[in-house]
Amino acid sequence: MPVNPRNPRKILVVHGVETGTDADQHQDLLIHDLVADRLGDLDISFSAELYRYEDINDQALAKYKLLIDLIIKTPVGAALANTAIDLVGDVVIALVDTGPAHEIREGLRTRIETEFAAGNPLYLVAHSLGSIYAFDVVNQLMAQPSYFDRHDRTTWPVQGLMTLGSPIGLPMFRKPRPSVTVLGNIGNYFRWRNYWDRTDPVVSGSFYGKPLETYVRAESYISASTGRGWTIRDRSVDTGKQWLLAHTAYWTLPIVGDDLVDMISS
Amino acid sequence: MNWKTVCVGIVLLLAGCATTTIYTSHFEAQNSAGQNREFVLYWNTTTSVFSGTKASPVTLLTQCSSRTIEYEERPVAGQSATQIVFRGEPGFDTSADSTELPPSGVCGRVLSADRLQNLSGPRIQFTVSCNPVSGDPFTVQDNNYLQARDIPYIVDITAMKTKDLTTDTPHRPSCTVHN
Repeated sequence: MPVNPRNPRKILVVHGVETGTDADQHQDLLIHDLVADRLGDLDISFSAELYRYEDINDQALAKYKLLIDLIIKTPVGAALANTAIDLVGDVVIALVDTGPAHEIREGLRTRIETEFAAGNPLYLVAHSLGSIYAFDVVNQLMAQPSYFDRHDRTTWPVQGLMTLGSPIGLPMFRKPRPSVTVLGNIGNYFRWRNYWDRTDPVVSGSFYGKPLETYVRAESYISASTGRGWTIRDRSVDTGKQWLLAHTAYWTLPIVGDDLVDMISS
Repeated sequence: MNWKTVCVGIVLLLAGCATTTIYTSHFEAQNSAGQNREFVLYWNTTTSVFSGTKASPVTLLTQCSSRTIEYEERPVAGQSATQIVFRGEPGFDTSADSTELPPSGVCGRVLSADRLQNLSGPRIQFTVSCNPVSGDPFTVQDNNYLQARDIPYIVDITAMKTKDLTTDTPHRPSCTVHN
């Protein structure tokens, strides 16, 4: 069933590396409250749900979590910190098509296709490492002939992608993903908005939170030539927080909510 | 004292040494459909002794519209200079005098500073040079924004220190009086 543009909007939230289990993840409630607050009295029917994969992720990222625990407890932690960030990438890269990461991607893809079958316009909001999974699945779907006719948005299982605190600009993630999937010649544009704080260590790869000087993270995935059919916007924001606190501050940031209101209403 | 406590202490110290300021303007003008509307413009900066000053884009919200405009700091092509611009999106914005986006993609600019961290009151100047595209079946709300015109807008700015952006950031003006 094609997407009905007038149906209620669905926001599917993809979380990042988290502590706890699936039952502990409630980022969908944060996004729902943020959008509801920033909507004010505008009348847009929407709901937010969470794609949970922490139980799978716990197995995939056991090495990373063990190392972080060690770093926190030992005096040599600072010297090992940048290695820890690298290892996060190693886990994902090593599991591009097999193992738990594959399972996570397949689960997300199935969830998106279920929403598509229901005919609701779907918007993805992905945080941290969740943005890698979301990016990969959107590009996989875009490569399938049955979806994403550029002239007809009702064939799009995902209407827009918003990433928060994503490490996608780091070389370890950039290298195996040379660019976005070409959407087609002339027609509608797929929107990807990438929000990041300059001191967020997951975005910069600097464990010490050294501020990023660049303006480009997600926009490096598209060349200067037009025609890929994506509109990618890097949005460097001030979360009002520093370092790791910045990484978790996007969920309640008003500018993120205002832009989500914009995205789901068109 | 264990290392976990030390790390938490450092984080709190870093957070405590930062000062966050919200800059706001409320003004009335015409939207792109020629209707009188209220507008809210805001941005925020945080200055820390450890990491300098960082800033958010300037956000422009329109009464009775779901459209959110952001003026972002971007490098000027081929130069080391920067500018603060509203980048239009193909399919969603057109130049005010054609059916296409301007070749540069720029639909407006803040004239008062080249960097967001240097932007402050008591007033700022900015331009709007595009119109929203209407008629897309997926557009379920009024998507008008501030009317394009040749003369820059000049608005007064209020600055306020804050500990909580969620609470203190201004909202889209209520639409009730226009329903």
